[in-house]
Amino acid sequence: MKRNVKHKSPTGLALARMQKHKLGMLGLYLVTIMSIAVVLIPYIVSVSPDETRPWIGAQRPFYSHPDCSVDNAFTVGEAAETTERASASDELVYHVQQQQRVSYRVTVRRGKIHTIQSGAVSTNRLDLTTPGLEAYELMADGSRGRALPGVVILKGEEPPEGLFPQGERVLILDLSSTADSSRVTVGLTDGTVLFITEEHSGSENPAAAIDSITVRGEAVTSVVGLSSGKRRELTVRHWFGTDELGRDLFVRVFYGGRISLLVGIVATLVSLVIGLAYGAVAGYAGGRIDRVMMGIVDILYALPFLFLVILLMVTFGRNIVMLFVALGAVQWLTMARIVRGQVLSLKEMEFVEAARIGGESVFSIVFRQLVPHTLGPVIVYTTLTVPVIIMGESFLAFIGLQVQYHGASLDSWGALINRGVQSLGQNGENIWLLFFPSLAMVLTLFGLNSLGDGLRDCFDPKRSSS
Amino acid sequence: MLTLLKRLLYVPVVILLLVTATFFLIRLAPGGPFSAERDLPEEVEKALNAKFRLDQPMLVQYGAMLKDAVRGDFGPSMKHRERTVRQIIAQHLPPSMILGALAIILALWIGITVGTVSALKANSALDYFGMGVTVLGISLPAFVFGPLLQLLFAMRLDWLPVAGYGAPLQLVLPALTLSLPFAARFARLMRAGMLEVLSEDFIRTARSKGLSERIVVLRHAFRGALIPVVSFLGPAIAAITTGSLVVEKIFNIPGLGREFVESALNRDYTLVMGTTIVYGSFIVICNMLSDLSYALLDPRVRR
Repeated sequence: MKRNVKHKSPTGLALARMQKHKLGMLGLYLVTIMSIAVVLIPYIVSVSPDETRPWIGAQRPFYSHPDCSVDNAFTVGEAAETTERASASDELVYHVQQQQRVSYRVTVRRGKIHTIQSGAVSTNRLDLTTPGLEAYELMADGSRGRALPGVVILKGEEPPEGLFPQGERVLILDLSSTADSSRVTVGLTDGTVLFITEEHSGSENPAAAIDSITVRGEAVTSVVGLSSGKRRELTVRHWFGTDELGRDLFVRVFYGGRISLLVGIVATLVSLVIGLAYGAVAGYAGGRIDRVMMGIVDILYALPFLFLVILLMVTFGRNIVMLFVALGAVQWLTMARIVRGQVLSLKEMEFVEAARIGGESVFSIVFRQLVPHTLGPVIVYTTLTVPVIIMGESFLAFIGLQVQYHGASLDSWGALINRGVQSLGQNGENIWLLFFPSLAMVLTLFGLNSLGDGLRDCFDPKRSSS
Repeated sequence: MLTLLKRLLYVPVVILLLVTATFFLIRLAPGGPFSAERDLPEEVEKALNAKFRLDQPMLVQYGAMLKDAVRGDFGPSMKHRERTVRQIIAQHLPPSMILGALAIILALWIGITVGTVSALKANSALDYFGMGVTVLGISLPAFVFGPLLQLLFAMRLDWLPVAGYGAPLQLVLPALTLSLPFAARFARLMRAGMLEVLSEDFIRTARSKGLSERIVVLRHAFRGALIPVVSFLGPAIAAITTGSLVVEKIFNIPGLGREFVESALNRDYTLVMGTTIVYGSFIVICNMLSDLSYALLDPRVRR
C-alpha cells in the first residue's frame, strides 16, 4: 500500500519555515555572497593585497593609473619583473618621465650670496637657466610659491635681480626638472624579455638596444601593451581607492575578509567541538559528575575572557592558532550549557532506552543517538557565535593585536578599520579607507546575525525573535 | 537558597583563578618590564629587579603579590615608578565608570522605548524597521560606529567635540557609541518580553475591565516585560566594561581600559595585576549577579 503523505523531519520542517523568513533569507544571501567573494578573490583579481605603490598615496575610489610596479626590471633573456598583466603582452611601451625634485636653501649675508645648500651638500653655483627646469619658491607649509626667474646664482656674488623678496635673507628653492623623458620598449614572449630599446626624446639618436633596464614606477606616465596585434593602454583601476602605501583597497578588503571569516569559522568549530563533547558528557552522566562539570562552567563563565585573550595574545605573540584556541575557548561555555540541557531532557526518552538495551556503548549512545537530536539549537547557536568571534578578533586587531603569520601581520577587517581610523585625517578626507572595510564587515555580521535569528525562529516557532 | 549562597562562594574562587592566570601569563610573555628602557645601567636594573622582587623565585613572587593584593596594595608601577598602582587606578577609574554608567542608562532608555513601541505595533512596518535597526546595531562594532559619529557630528557638523575628556559634552559621543549594541539587545528583549506578557490572561482581564491601553501597558504589563531586560543587565554591564577598552581608545579618554592594554604591552607587571584585579572583580561580580538573578527570577532554574 502506498502512502502519499510526505513525512518531514523536524529539521526539514524548520528549513521549510526558514524559506519564508525574509530577514533570515536576506542574511543567508548576504553571507553566501560574501563567502563566495572572499574565497574566489585570488582567482578573480591578480593584484596582490600587499603590492605597494608609495608614490600614489591614498587615492579616492575609482582612481586609475598606469599599470606598473615599484621597480619594473627587464633583462634580455630573463623573465620580466613587472605586473602580471603587463608581462602578458607581446610588446610593452613605457613612457617614462624622470622628474627630479630638489630643494636648495640660499642665504645672503652682507649683500652677497653666503651659502647655497641642499641638505648637507653645499655648492658654489646654481643654474636656473637649464632647459626643462622649473624653479619655485618653497613656502613654509611645503607648498610652491611664486615662480623664480631663470638666473644663475653664484656664491660670493650679489644675488640676481628679483630673486629675493624685499628684505629677505633666506630663500628656499624648489627645483623640479623633467630632465629626461624617454620611451622604453620591451619585447616579450611568454613573459621572457626578447629585446629592450630606449629612445630619449629630444635626442637625435635613434632608439638604442640595451641589455637591461629598471623602470621606476613613479616615473611612468603611461604604459601601452601590444598583445596579439591589439594595442591597449594598460591601467589599473582601484574600485575602492588606495591606502597611503598605494595598496588597492578592494583587494585588501576581500583578503581581509578571508582572515576574518577564517578566524570566525575555525574558532567557532573549536568552541563547537569542545562545547558539544563537554555538554553531552555532563548531561548524560548526570548526578555528581554533572554538578561538578557545570560548576566549572559556572566558574569559567564569570571570567572576563577578553582580558585573558589580550594577555594570551601578548604572551604568545599574536599567533593565529593561539587566536583560534583563545577565541574558541571563550565561546564553548554557552554551547556546553545548551547541549547539556538538551541531552538532560532527551536521555530519558525511549529511543535512548532502546539503544541501551540493544547493547550500544555509552560513547555511541551519546554521540550517535543524543548529539544529533540537539542539532537544531546547536546550529542556531553556532551561527550566532561566528559573528561574535569575528567581532572579537576585530576588537583585538583594533587595539593593535592583529594576528601575525611568520612575522607578517595578517590584516583582517578589524586591522583595516583600525588603519582607516588612523588615516581619517582632520576632516575625514580619506573616509573610504574606513568606509569599505566597515561596510564589508557590517554586511557580513548583519547577515550572520539575521541568519541566526531566522534559524532560531524556525527551529523554535513558539519563541518569537528576542 | 543554599545553592544560591554556594554560588556566591564562587566569586573569590573565580577572582583567584583570574589573578593566577594573569600573573603567570604576563610573566611568560617575552621581555621584562625594564627591557624596553635603553641605557639602563646594570646596577640600576639589578636594584630595580630586587625592589620588585623579580630576582626571587616565581612562586615566592606570587605569594607575596597575593598577600599584598589582599591588603589592596599593588606597589608602585614598574613603568611610571614615581606613582603607585593605586594612584594610577584612582586617577583612571572614574572616567571609565562615568562613561560606563552613562552608556548603561542610555542603553536602557533607548532599548526599553524602542522595544515597547515595537511590541505594541507588532508586525507593522514600524516594528520591522525597529528590529532591522537592532540587528544592525548588534552588527555595528564600536570601532566603526564611533569614528562615524565623530565624522558626522564632530568633523562635518561641528556640534560636538571630536575626542577628549573633561567637558560633559565630550561624553556624549563615547556614551552613545558604547551603548548602541546594548540598546539593541535591550530593545529585542523588551519586545519579546512585552509580547509574551501581553498575551497573558491577566492582561485580558485588565482590558476587559475597560482600562485604557495606556494603563494596561504601563501599569500591568511593563513590570513583567522588564524581567528579561533586568536579567541581561549583569552581562551587559560586564560587556560594557570591556567594550570601553575600544571606546576609550577612539575618543582618547584617559580611562582604565587603555591603562590595562598599555600595561600589558609594556610588561608593567604590577599595573597589569592592579587593573586586572579591579576590572576583573567587577566583571566577575556582575556575571555572578546576573546568573543569580536568572535563578531568582526564573523558578525553573532554581533546581
